[in-house]
Amino acid sequence: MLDGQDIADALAGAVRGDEASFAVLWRALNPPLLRYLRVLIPAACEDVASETWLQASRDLGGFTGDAKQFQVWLFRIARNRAIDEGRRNQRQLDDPVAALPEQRSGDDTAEAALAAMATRRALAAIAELPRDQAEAVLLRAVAGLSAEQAGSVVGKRSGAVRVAAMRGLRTLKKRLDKAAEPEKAQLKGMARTGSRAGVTR
Amino acid sequence: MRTTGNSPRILGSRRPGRRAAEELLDHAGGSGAAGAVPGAAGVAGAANVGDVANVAGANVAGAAGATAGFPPAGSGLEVSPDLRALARLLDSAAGPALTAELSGEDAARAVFSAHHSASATPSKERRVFSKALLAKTVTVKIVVAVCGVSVVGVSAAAATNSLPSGLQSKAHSLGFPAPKDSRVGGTDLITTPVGAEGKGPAVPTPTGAPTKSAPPRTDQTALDAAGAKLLGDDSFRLCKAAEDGDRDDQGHALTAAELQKLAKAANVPAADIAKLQSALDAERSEAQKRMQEFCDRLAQAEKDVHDGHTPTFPIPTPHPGDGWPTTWPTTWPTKVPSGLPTGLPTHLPSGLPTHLPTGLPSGAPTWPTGWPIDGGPQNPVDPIRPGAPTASGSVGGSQH
Repeated sequence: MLDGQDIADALAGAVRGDEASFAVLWRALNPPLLRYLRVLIPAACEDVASETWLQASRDLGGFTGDAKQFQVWLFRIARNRAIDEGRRNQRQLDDPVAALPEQRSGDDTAEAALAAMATRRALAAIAELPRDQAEAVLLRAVAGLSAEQAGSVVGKRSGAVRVAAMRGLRTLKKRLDKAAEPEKAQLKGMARTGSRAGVTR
Repeated sequence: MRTTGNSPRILGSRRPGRRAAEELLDHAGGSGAAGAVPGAAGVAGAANVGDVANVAGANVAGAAGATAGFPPAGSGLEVSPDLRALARLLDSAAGPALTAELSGEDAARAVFSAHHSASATPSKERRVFSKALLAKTVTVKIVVAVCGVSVVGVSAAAATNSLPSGLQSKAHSLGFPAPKDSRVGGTDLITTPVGAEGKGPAVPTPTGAPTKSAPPRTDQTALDAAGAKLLGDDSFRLCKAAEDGDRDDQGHALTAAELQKLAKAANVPAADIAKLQSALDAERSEAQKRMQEFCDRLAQAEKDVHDGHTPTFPIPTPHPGDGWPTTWPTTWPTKVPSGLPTGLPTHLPSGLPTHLPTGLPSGAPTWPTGWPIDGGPQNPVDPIRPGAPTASGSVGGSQH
């Protein structure tokens, strides 16, 4: 797992024009970027991500800042591109998230497949939140940004981001509890049935 | 029970407070998906697998895991059972990178290479090349500028007749322009029209006070110098004569040749010089004005020499013994000489002379008498013209 120093080193190399460093940077930041864009503009998330990296590649030579600032800069580019794309295509930015495309690979294992499913489900649940709450949760939890950094991306104060994230989590908690009730009842029923059977015996 | 964000029991409450939410978000997926790379041990552990397996078909993950007693979230954060499902959902959202999410790496690297191929690796060489090229370009430009300035300077010097005579003729032979209205290489003055009327030298003020900065040496100065040299010692005489109605000090009118010589020195156009035959002709044309101006400049130059200043152009040295003035007045006299009588005479002689001379002066010749041809006192004969009638009306001689 890459830490902040690794990303900082990769950023320094990429600024100098090192392609390998840029690849490290891309591998570290493209997944959260795609997940963020998948919530913002599900129909064109990959196109917008490509445009984002295109602009970042073009302007990376003049970038000054640390790894976190680069991340904020990258997500801000992505957000602006997504807004532009949404205006261009007249799409609703808070449409339900589309399912991640299934891709087969040679090293695909059952665990990886299940992890991917869990990720897709989690992102789908977050995408059902109001847009500001979904953005706050994604930027905080997925992108790993602080409230201040997330506020820089969305153009809000850090307090507004914290409130939006907390409300989003409460909403998610409610939905999780609601979805778990039938299962709990079923488990209780199973347990009661088992105890009766034991008594009967 | 309503909880607040500052409550220490927040992580165990049923609703995530502000602090609990912050901690959940901070610990989601360890450091978030940003740090997840393929092959790394991500947060997708058995808990997530169990979540997905238990809630397959629903949009909410992790609910069953919380109730089924799965281990804590992948981030390692110890949370209450109520929030465990939420923590696992966030861990799943920040899970390791999927294969689909890393499928465009080659394209991204190609784009990056396209942008930085020209500036990344060969940048140092290109900088070195750019420096050499810049130095070369600057050197060439400096050389060209120096050559251009030199050529222009020599050309200007040749055009203003400022070069030494040898260099002047050489420059002229090399194609540099010759002075328009001055001599070239010691030849005679070219009497072409002056084309630099507006850029003539600063004519000294009528008071004769030289300006602080010396007037620039221009074509007009060179022309004046050439004109003064052409006139030589006659310059002052001719100029004086031109001022005094084209008559020299002895009252002689200037000849046509002298007038034309002065006009030539004053750079009067050749066409006008040919028409100059008298002062009247000069007055009819612009020649008179040009000659007057030339003479004014000549006088000013002479005055500068007299005052110890450097004249605007060299002038011939006057010869004091010639009787010509060594200084030249630059202003008209404002006062009439005081020694001369003014007005009409007040005392006229009155009356006639009272004493008239009586008698002939003594010693006056008397007429000879008794000449042979004389007819006697009664018939006098004119001694000069013997046949002419006399005062008495008779003709002497052959009347008889």
